[in-house]
Amino acid sequence: MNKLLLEVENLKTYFPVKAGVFKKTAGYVHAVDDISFKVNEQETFALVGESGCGKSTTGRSILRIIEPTSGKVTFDGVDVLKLSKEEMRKERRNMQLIFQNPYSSLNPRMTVKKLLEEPLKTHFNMSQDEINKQVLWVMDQVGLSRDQLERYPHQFSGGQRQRISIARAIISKPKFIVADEPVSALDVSIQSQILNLLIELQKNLKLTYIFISHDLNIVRHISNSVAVMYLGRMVETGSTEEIFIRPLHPYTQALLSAVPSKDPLQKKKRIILKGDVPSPVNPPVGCAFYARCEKAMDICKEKRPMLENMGGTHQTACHLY
Amino acid sequence: MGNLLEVKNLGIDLVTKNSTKTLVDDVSFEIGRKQSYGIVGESGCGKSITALSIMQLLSYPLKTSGGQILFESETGKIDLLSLTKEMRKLRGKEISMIFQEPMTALDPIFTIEQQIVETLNFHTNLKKVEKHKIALEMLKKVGIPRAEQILKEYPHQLSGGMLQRIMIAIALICKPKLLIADEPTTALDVTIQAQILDLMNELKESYDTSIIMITHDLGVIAETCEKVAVFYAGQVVEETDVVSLFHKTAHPYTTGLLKAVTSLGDKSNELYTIPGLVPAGGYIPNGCRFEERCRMAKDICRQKAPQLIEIEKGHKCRCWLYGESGDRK
Repeated sequence: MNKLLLEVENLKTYFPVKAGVFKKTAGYVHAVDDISFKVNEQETFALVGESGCGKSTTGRSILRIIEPTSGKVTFDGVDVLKLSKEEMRKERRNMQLIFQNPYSSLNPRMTVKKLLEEPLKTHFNMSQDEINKQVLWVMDQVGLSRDQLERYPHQFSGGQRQRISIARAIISKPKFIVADEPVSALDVSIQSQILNLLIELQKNLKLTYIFISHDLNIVRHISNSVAVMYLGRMVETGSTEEIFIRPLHPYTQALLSAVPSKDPLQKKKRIILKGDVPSPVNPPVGCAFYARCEKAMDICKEKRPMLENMGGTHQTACHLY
Repeated sequence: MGNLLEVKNLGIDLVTKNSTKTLVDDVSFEIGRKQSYGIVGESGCGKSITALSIMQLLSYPLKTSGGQILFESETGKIDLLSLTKEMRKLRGKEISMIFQEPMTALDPIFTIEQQIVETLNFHTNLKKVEKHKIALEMLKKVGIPRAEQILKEYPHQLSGGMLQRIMIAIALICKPKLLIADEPTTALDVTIQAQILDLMNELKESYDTSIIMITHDLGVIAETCEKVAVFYAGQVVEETDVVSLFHKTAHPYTTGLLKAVTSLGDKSNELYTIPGLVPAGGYIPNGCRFEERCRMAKDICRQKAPQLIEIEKGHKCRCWLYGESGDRK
């Protein structure tokens, strides 16, 4: 068992909704609502869910790119939420983020060399020689050639740009990376190249990932444990095998059955969910999934289910169990 | 019964002042009545512009450079590429299209009803009350709750899944013979994608519509299509029925795409990858266009471009592995 690296306890991130002439706060968007999980060193923890369920906000709240409302985030023994701005800035060399869209996350006016030097200049006091050495090292790591250093982002394809973003994230030698949908903007044949690169880097550099994705196939491949989110809350969590082989929550079951099968001869029975995700501004009192659930009971409408232990690391929030 | 649509040797060029790039080269396929035909490929392979050329929606600097698109319309067989203003009478009535992003495809300043009725205004002489009734029925058919109320709302008030249902309602309101769906579910969540794919399969049966499904997702193809063409760098590299595509895959590119998807989940192995990059538009080497990325490339692949040949009945492939005569070498 690996050492515990990150522990998130009761994390909440609310966004105020302003209304009226005086911009009074009319309510809150419950983007992340009471989430707790643990991530061990050199493991990959995946957050899955549909758009708007709060998975990206969770990732960003941990890095304090978005300030969480309350909760506790312990990273490597340090309480991240108590750090001052300056201390947090220093801590970020250990915790980095890879963004979804490599077409908008790189400054178009900077060459690759400048882009890669930037994190080193903000975090370390290095001589130009050391910086150059480090830049060349990282180019090798992500599979870019050295003669591409003087080029600008628009001269690269999507896959190569994502390699540059990954290089930017790992150049300060962090322990921990939040990868926010790193392959969803890429073509299928390029996706697998980037996923292989991420797995290889994890082995070589002893990285820990939080992997945010809506693609269940990719999550199954890359992660050790998974949390399924719905409307800002965790509905089920456990090891990847537990979740994919024995999904318990009706939402997880529906999500898994909705993935198109890769074989035209195998027509699987699908659970078709009715309707849409409810609004997170005034989330339902009971179970958030109540209105779309096939197995809904009376209690689901009135009482919110809590995460219960289902054996092993498997937990689910549903009144069925 | 003849084919509904025959695309013959279609070519599309990107014409600028100084250069002409060929984006789609010698593409031919046929679509039968009530058939669902899949076009699959990665970005930049020419699948979307092929669809746009069927609708005659290509705009400068894109131009068709040759070929024919024969469509069996109510008035007889016509070449869509020879039409100019007459095309308007077909669009929305006999051929219609659904776009990828329902959020941007609908006009934000008109109500849902105005946008649905627009097609009817153009193609029919119905009274206002009748049009309202048709619009209402159509919304119910595509599974929209509170239809009466939704008709009065604006696009920003609805979710992506709902908007895509409305796009489908607009496309099907005149009961077209051919529906072109350009990545209809790419912008949607998986659970919503499942709803929309089910709806499309259902409507295809009840309206006797043929569907061209353009997608990059082989899973969507497996769920909805009968026949499939795989595009690579502006050419069809393989064409066959959906079962053969998945079980008797012929072209190395298709094999790669399938393996890249299906090897997911098998943690023991490294993911199968196709090396290299998707070529930029207008890439035309002497030999095979896939040669650089192909694991089975031979000398001949570098020298001479392979032709699309029938390797089995109904199964076409563009690869030197199958020689000139069609038998495996």
